[in-house]
Amino acid sequence: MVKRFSSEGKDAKEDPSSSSQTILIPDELCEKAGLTLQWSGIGELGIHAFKHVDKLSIDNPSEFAPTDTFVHNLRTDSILFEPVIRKLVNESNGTFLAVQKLTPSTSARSETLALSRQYRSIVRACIENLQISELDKNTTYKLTPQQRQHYVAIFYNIEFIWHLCEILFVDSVPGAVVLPHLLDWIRFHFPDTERAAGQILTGPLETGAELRNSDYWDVVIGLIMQGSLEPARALLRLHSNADSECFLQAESLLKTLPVFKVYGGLSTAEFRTRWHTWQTNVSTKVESGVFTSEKNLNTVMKIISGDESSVNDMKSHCETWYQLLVAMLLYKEPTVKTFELNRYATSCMGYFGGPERMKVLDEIIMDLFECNILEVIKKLHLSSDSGWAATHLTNLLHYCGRLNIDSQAYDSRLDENLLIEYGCLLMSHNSLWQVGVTYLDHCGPQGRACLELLLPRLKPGSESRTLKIIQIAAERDMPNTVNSICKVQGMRCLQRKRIGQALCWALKSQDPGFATHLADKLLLEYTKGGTFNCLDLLDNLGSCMLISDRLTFLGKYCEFQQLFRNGATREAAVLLTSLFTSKLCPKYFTLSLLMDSLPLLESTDVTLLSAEDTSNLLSCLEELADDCASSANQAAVMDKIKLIRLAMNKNLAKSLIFEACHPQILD
Amino acid sequence: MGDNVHGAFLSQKIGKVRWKTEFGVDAETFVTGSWDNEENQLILWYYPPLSELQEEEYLDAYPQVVYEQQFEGDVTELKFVTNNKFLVSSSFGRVQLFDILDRTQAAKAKLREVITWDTCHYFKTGERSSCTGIATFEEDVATIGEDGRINLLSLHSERLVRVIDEADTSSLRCTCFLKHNELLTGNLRGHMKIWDLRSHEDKPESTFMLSGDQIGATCVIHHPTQRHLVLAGGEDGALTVWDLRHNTFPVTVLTAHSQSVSELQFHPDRPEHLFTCSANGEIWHWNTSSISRNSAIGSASDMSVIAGIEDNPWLNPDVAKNRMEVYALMPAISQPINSFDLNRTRLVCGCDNEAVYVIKNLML
Repeated sequence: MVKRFSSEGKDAKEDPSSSSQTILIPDELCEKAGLTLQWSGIGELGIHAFKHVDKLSIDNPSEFAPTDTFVHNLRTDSILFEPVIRKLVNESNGTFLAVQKLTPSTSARSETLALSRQYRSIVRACIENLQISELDKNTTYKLTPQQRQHYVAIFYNIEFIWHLCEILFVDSVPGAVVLPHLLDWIRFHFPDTERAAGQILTGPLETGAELRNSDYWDVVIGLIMQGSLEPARALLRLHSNADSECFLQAESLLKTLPVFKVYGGLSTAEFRTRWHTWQTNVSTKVESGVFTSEKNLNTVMKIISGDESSVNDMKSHCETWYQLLVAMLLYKEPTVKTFELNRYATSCMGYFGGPERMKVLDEIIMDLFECNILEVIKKLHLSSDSGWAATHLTNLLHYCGRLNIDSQAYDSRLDENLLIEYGCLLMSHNSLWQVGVTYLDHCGPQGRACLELLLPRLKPGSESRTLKIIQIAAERDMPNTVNSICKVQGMRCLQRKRIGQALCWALKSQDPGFATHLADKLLLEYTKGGTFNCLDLLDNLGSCMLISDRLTFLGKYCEFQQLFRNGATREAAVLLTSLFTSKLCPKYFTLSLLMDSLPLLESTDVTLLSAEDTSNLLSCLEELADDCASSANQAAVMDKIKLIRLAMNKNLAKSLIFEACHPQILD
Repeated sequence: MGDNVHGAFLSQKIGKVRWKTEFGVDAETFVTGSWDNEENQLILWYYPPLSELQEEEYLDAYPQVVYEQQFEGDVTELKFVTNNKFLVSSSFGRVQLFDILDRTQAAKAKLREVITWDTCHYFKTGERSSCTGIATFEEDVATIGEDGRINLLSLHSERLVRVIDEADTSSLRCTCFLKHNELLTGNLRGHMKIWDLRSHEDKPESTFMLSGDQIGATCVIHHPTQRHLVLAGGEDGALTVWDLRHNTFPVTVLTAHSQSVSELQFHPDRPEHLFTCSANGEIWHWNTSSISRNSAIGSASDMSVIAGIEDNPWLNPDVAKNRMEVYALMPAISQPINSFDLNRTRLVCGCDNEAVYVIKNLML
């Protein structure tokens, strides 16, 4: 009996320090005797009860006998093997292969951006699939709600991190002004505010919205902080006091807020001057108390004036420190450069309790702002997606030329190690191994070596599967791998008593030893039964028979029989003589072969076997007779030998006379 | 992928795919069978034909799963025998006849098992052997397997009609009926055998080779109207053409794909079009209509007709080599395309990247 149970990797996020895990093997015998384990396939362990015995142990029957023993198979499980998530594995494989067609370069390219977006949309499709799989009643497998939630969370985080990574490293913004993209990032992942605004705006479009909606000011401030000014102004116009002086002032200020556009025709310096003029204007108005009559509006205006004291107000409207960061940058440093983000990020984090309160996600985002890609990859690698994100992201960043750490800390490309790990994981799966191969293809010599080791270890299945494995190996020019797989197939056929098919594999594997072994088997079977069981194959061997002498003999012998059956006795006689003179005939078969010469010797046509041919045959016969004489109990054989000797002598006599009378025939 | 290709990802590699046969109208249902998964499935899909939808809707119509059925072993062949019954063979040596119950017969479209032939293919050791192919001629069915056995079945009986135990010493890989009494089989070493089913002897009527290099045959078909014209695909990706009226020597060998040909099919209504798919992810359309048309125009006075030169381009090696129009129906994918099927102007194919693609608007 083989038991399988999956080992859900502990959530590495909670406890990255302990990477070890205890798995209980439910086996009484193992409990008593102890256990040992061996690799049994790719990523699979065979575990069984075992007690060490050495020269000092007393030679006794086992104290546990008689008992049932079990082998437990333990294999790594991965969320990538979940049916819903397999779609992600296969779809992302297509994108991965498209990335490999590029050449690494640091210059901004639309291709890399498009591919990065493709990856993200695949992740989003996966999240969507996970969400709808609950509603789909057709499917036969089910996920528990907890599992589903867990998976959605994992992939949501991946997409979130990937998006930021795309903004900072894949999409190179002209002038390194990243704020517009960061705003998109925040808006995309925190859509609640916009949704709430939409709800208010789809209600009655008349003043007094703040009375109808208790969250009115929260929404307005949220929108301001996300830089969504249009809906914010629309909301402000719905306020009961929208006609009052302070609201009109606010409206005109918000309307004139300068927005930096990359292709807006303004240089950063020019923009800064405009920005400062505008913001000074706002500050003056705030300080002169224009908005004091409306407390909330005052807060809004304080935020857009970039006033330090507004940070606490902003913080109360943020769930996370990076929301605060983006809002703060928007009104303080709208032209912030990628490499300056680090400083602001640290200060924002301080408002949210500093590094002690950070979770893994926060750490990764912080690392991204610090441009510490290596650290990001390390942490992503530990997340519970079995390295999917780390592998694909690292690979993409390599093609964006962002992994300049490559050459310093590592001998080989950083992404290659991850690719190998990911490829090997897929190779361990019963069905996804073909996808795994495509990853190992792009890992240089190490990946190739892995493939050479792993391909023969794939579980044997139907012949179609084996042929596919062989094709993969052949395509990559791995003759040794091909041969070893063919040999295993040959042995399996032999176990199934399909000698013909085994021979077929032996020929494919170019293994002379195996071919000889099989040819021997067939010849021995023939000496016992008088028939060949795979004539259809032997008759059509062609040049393949040259792989081994024994097989050549077998092939030629079948040809002889065919000729003889078809009545071509003359050709048959020539072939028979050549079979004797070539000395290919194995000893155990000499007698059978000599017996086959009897009808030719006894034929009335004297010219079939000449005197010389007959003497050749005779010498073979005598050799056999000598061998037989030395071993006892060969009466039956000796009888046959006598019979053949007689026929040979007669033929020799006849042919000598004939040749003497017709010398012209010999010429 | 272009506008005319619609794909859907599944969580299993697709071994076989077939349209449900419809007469005179576009099929809207197809069946796929998976392989190499721990739990395989037969899946019934719905893909609405153009006539039922507005043009804009059609652009977004993707194939949808209607019904899933667990299946033991890999699905190795699927073949429709009537418009709603189909045969399935498995790597467990089992052959089953299924019925598609549509919405008029059941609350929801589903599959129903009609007949199961349990152990059609097995080794001498008792181990089950994979059934590798099915050939049908009206109600007669022949199955072949890795065990080198040929079984003859009838759709009306659960018993095996006839068994040829040691038909081949190698594994049989492909088969088709040439006539009601003639079966062609091909094996792993490229030995093609014609069996006369009227004869009671368990010996082939004739044997010939795919090529001299012992390349395995992967698929074989005959021309829809000219049954003596036989095409076979090989492990090396080449297509071999025979004219069995004359002799068993190939007329043409066309170097086609760079890896083994998984399936080939003439368009059932327009036999001047051939389609092939391969293990290196290619799906090709071979158009011979320009050659056929040329020879038709000059027909009566044309010297070639008088001279008895074949007007079927496949049997005219020089024409075939020089003037065959071949194009890829979609960009090659990284994994093998295992199977495809044609229905009027649409083609559906199933691949090892766990996707099915429907290609619309074939240029016929």
